[in-house]
Amino acid sequence: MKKSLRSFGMGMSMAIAAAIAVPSAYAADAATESKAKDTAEKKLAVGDKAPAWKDLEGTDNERHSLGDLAAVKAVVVVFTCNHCPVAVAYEDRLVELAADYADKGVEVVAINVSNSEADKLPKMKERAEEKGFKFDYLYDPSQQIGREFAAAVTPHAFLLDGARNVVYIGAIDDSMKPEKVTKNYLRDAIDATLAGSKPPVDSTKPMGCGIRYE
Amino acid sequence: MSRPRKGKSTACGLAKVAVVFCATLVFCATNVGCSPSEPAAPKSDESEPAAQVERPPAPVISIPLVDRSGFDAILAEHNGRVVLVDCWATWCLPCIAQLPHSAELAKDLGGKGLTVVALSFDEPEDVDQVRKALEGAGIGSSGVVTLQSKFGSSSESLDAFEITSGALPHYKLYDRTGKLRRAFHLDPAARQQFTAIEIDAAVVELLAE
Repeated sequence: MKKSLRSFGMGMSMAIAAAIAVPSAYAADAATESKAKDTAEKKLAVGDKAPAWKDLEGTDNERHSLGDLAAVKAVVVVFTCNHCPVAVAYEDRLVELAADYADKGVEVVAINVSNSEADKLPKMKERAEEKGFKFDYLYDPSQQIGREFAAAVTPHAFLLDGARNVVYIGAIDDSMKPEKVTKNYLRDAIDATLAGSKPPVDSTKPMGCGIRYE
Repeated sequence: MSRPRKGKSTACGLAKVAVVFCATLVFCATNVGCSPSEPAAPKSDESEPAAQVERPPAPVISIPLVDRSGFDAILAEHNGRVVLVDCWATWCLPCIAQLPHSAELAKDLGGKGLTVVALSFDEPEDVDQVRKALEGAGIGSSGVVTLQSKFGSSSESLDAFEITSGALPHYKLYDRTGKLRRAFHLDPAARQQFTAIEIDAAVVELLAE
């Protein structure tokens, strides 16, 4: 390959041709980002009505909708998946969260929108069983609900209050490593919501594996 | 830091890059965020000395911890060159899969004025894992500038380095004047997600300016 000398000029024109052939809807372009924001649909924000999922299949083989949870005081929605190491690092914390708030009228719903083989429903079922998920773990192969929530990473948490308005968006806590956690953003937000007040911090930036929308 | 390498290996760099395109199609076609692979063990153990026996002696990769001003200072050192920043972490499996490609770009286009920076978002105490991953990707002899955010995987890191979506992989591309021209990240609102091919093409375009 070292000897197959192709001139820089030739190579470049090929590469540029490749760039032109690619549709111009880049994920993000620093130069056009602000313009894109104006034209794109409004991104879900704190205070907005929560998007409602409908008839998503769960690891329990049942179909689930947000509407089924009418009696619940607050709903925690966490976008997650099987194979992101960050999502995996939070599994035990999700199990604990669901257990700790089960008697307080809080429902945890995990949703996967990743369509890689290792993340699809059969693997989700395996994982839910291995980890003893007591909460709904739903699959949306259309990815529609992820787009509606603008879920960008796994894990990405959203808290919905009694009126199903979004009251918190972001990270579950402030460290992937349980032993380094100093701020439990999501729990604090749940406690505030149950107490009828606004979360002390209503949005944080979650770091994680980028969800790839198709 | 990494000076341009003169020589014929760079003359055919683009041909090689074109070949690497094919390899990277796998990256483009698969689910970037949640691809199946062995999970990166989130351990912070010291590397076992036994591993040193099998490995030929190589210079230890230096991975300075940087905040934003430290990062900007390094960018300034590379003024006059195009700089591609590969924001990655050991827990980001698609990032790990792309590191060898970043090394290839640095090797092939370094002589044409490209500097590649691999900026890790791992926790500072996990530097040994970071180094192992860099070594495994062939970064050691590639001329890639290796850095680690001093804020690790925290929200502070995201703010400091403007990873607005919080999602890795994330790439930033600066032109020869040091201006940020492109940022590539996964975006729920985008009709189409970025591909490695687009990044390579954008690099080539900026090199030609």
